[in-house]
Amino acid sequence: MRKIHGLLVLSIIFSFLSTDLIAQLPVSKEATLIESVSSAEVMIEATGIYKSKQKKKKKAKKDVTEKGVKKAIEDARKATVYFILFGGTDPLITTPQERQKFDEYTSFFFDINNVNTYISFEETEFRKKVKIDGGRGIRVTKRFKINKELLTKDLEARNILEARAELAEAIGNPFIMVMPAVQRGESPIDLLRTNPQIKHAAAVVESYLTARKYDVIVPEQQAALSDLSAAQQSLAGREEDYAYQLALSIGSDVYITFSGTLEDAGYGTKKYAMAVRAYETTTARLLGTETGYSQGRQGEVMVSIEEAMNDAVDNVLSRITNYWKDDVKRGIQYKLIVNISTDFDEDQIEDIQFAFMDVVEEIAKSSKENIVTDQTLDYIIWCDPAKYDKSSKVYRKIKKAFKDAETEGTLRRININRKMILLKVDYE
Amino acid sequence: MKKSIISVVLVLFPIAILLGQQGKYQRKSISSVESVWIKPGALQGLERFDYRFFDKMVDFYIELERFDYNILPEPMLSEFREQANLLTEITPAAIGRVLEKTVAARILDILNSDDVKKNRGLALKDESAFQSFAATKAKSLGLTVRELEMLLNSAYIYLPYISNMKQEKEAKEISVEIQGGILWYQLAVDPGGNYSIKMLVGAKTSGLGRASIGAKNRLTGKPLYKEFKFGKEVLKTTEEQYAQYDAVLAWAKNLGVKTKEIDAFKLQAQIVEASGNKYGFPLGFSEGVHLGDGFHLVEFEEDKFGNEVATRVGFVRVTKTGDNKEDPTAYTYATQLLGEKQDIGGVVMEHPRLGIDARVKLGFVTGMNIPKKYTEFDLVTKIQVLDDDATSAFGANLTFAYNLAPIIGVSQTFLDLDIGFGIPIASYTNEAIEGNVNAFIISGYLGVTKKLWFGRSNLSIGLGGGVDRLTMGGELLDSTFSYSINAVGIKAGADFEMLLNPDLSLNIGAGYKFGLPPMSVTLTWGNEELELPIPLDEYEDLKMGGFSINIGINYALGELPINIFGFLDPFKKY
Repeated sequence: MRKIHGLLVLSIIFSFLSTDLIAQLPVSKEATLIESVSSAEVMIEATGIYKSKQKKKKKAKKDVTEKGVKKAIEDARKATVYFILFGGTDPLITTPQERQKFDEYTSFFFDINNVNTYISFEETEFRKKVKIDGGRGIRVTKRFKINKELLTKDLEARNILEARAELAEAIGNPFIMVMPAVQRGESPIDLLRTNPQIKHAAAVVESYLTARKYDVIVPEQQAALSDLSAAQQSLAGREEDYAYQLALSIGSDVYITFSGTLEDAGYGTKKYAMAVRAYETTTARLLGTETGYSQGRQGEVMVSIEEAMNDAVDNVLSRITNYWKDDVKRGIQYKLIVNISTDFDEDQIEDIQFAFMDVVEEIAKSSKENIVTDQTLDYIIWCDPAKYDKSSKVYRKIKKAFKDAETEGTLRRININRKMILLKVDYE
Repeated sequence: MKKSIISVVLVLFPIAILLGQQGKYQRKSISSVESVWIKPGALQGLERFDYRFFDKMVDFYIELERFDYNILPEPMLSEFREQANLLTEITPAAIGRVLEKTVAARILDILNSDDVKKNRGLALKDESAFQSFAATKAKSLGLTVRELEMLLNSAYIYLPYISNMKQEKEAKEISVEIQGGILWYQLAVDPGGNYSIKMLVGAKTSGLGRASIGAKNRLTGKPLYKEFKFGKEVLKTTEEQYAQYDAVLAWAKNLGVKTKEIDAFKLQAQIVEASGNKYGFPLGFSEGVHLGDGFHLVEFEEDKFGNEVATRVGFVRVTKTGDNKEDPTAYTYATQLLGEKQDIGGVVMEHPRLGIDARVKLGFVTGMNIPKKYTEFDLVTKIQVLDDDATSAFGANLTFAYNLAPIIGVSQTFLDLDIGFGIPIASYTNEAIEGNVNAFIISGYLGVTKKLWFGRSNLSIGLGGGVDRLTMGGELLDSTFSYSINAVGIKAGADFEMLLNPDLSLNIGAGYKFGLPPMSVTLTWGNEELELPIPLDEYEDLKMGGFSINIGINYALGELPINIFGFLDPFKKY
């Protein structure tokens, strides 16, 4: 009997708590991203709904007249926060773990006083205000500017999102290189130097990245590529991918390419369509791609470029962040390429390969074998940041282990940067 | 009760969809082809049609503050006129085609000019666009494609037309009647830059003007119809011209209201401040809003099919006009008279009226004194009309009340022109009955009324002065005659009035008219009128005033074929 009473009390408490949580969430959850105003703020058009709980129609109508607008506006404000947290293509809360942690703080984040702190601007007038359910409810639509950065920091402060600062402390922020996408044979650096529109687009991305405290690498020295030429033979099929080569040679973690065109938008206006792609440098794996469009304008191309880029880059960046959060859990990633001289015979080559494989097993928390041929070994390795926070440390370990293996070859380095270790094995 | 009184109008509402923001008036630009289309044979009996005055009235009443004006060059207008004159059949559609060929391209050029984009384009930007502008270090305030689409598709051309204008002269009386209207065309531009002229709407109305040849002001002795006043402007006229001007003014004023009634041109705004029954909204002098203007309160409701329909749920009247010419953020404030209270985000939509109310009252007067001896007069034979002394009368009054509020800045103050008709309650003598002679009182008063509103009701207090005329008339020797005794009077009254709908109110009231002793006698025989001075003591105890009670209605006019107080219109400034 006591058990039954206990269960009853628990179920009542639970039902109250869950009702409270539901009450905090917005009713409408309808919102649209209008534009990314800056790296910190977004403009969102959100709808708020209020439905009276009064059963009698007359009382319900009176209730809606008295407090409907105020409550619906509050609901719209909550809907904007909800949208940033869970809506759109790139919400802040992405994993079930994050959602689980968030649920503990639902009442905090959807408390209207807290919601108001994220709203930096609210339109005075309504986009729409419509009575629904025969006057028993009301629906309003307004535009709000939300400080997404502040919301993100609040999520990080409650460990719902892993703080970028903590990530940076562990293994550093990702190095990101930005460059225009080019046709085969074209030099992105030349394009950056000569085309003001391309340069402006790159500057917008770089501005975005630096505002969010990413490390940005600007590829302006074509000479950086020269060292890579010796390894070109190993980059099968990618020798024409300039961006990939540049990123590798510079040692960025991620590289972003962008391309854009001006399109006719009617009434003598042009709109800019921007495509932004983010790649993992070591594998050239596509992490995210997004398109952004400006509004149609007469002239003011630079403004259109900025608007289109802002539209696209925000989502791409959130995908980079998600990738980085996943990747760092595995350790620090390096690309390891070894060129084996053709002077070795088959057995010697095998000895060398086995020696390398043993070394990789020893130093890497995990690894991925990309290419193994008689002349080339291509690996992605993830190392413990506590032991191998620099590529030179990895190199030293490999060199030592290779020497200990007593093969016929001598290991030398071709190029080492923070992301890539390019080695060769020569016949003594 | 309220529901049954307030007119509820359901309209499938495309405006919100078109404009992006619910209940926002976007300025339109208009062009005139500086011409009037007069249907062949429409002018009858007129010596000369005064185009200059006609254009002046059209400019004043049609080219409203809510519009920007695109000036078209004269050669283009000449080309339009030439091509229009070549039309074998003049129809609105045919004129539309001529407009498309002659002036449309130029209007498009004007709209595409940098000045227009800069000046008018800013008005198309919404609040969030300005926010983004500020947030992005003021990088751009250029027009986007959406704003350009609105700008290019908000140009209209109007063409007034006269279908019939007739001047008639009967004895010394000249009357001019004008019938016609206005055609509105819209320039439609597609994203590819292709344009066409579409007939938007047509509105028609009429105007009537009168003048008497040689008539003079009885007080000053000056000719009545030799000058036509319009604001501070005084135009020298002949009696024919005066009648023509009078008709044209009434006609143009009616068309002005009809233009405002066109959906695309109706002022509307969202309520941004709501305090009790007072609302503030972003309209003002820039759009031509005046003190006392009425606006419907409109609410959007989702029907069972998911369509958004607009419903009129109340009515407000402007109590303070926002000076948004000086301060673009100034709001106009209005007080709610009908309907349930609204919150911010509700929409006010213009209810255009002439600014003239018509009041009809039926009443009973007591305390007057018309001794039967004063109803005796000697023409061919001596006749006494009333067999008893009359101390009371049934009466009816028709008042045209011109809203002075936009001129003097005091809300709900009216200038009244009152015409009264009373029938003394007394039995007639046999000779009067046999001679078909009647006795009645005709009054003409000028006064001022101030209405004090509380909710949907008001207490109106009025004061006026004028002339009462006891007239006895009939037929004698195959000729009509009347014998009138004229007296000056002063009256004051109060009415309780309740608004039944935005235009109509019911009133009940009481008043007192202080009738002074008669000043003169007027004898009319056929067309001859003779005014005879009389000794003051002759009708000493004749009083046409007294205490009155009345019941009536007040109607806010949207159209009136005659010109009443039109000369005051240019003075509107509040």
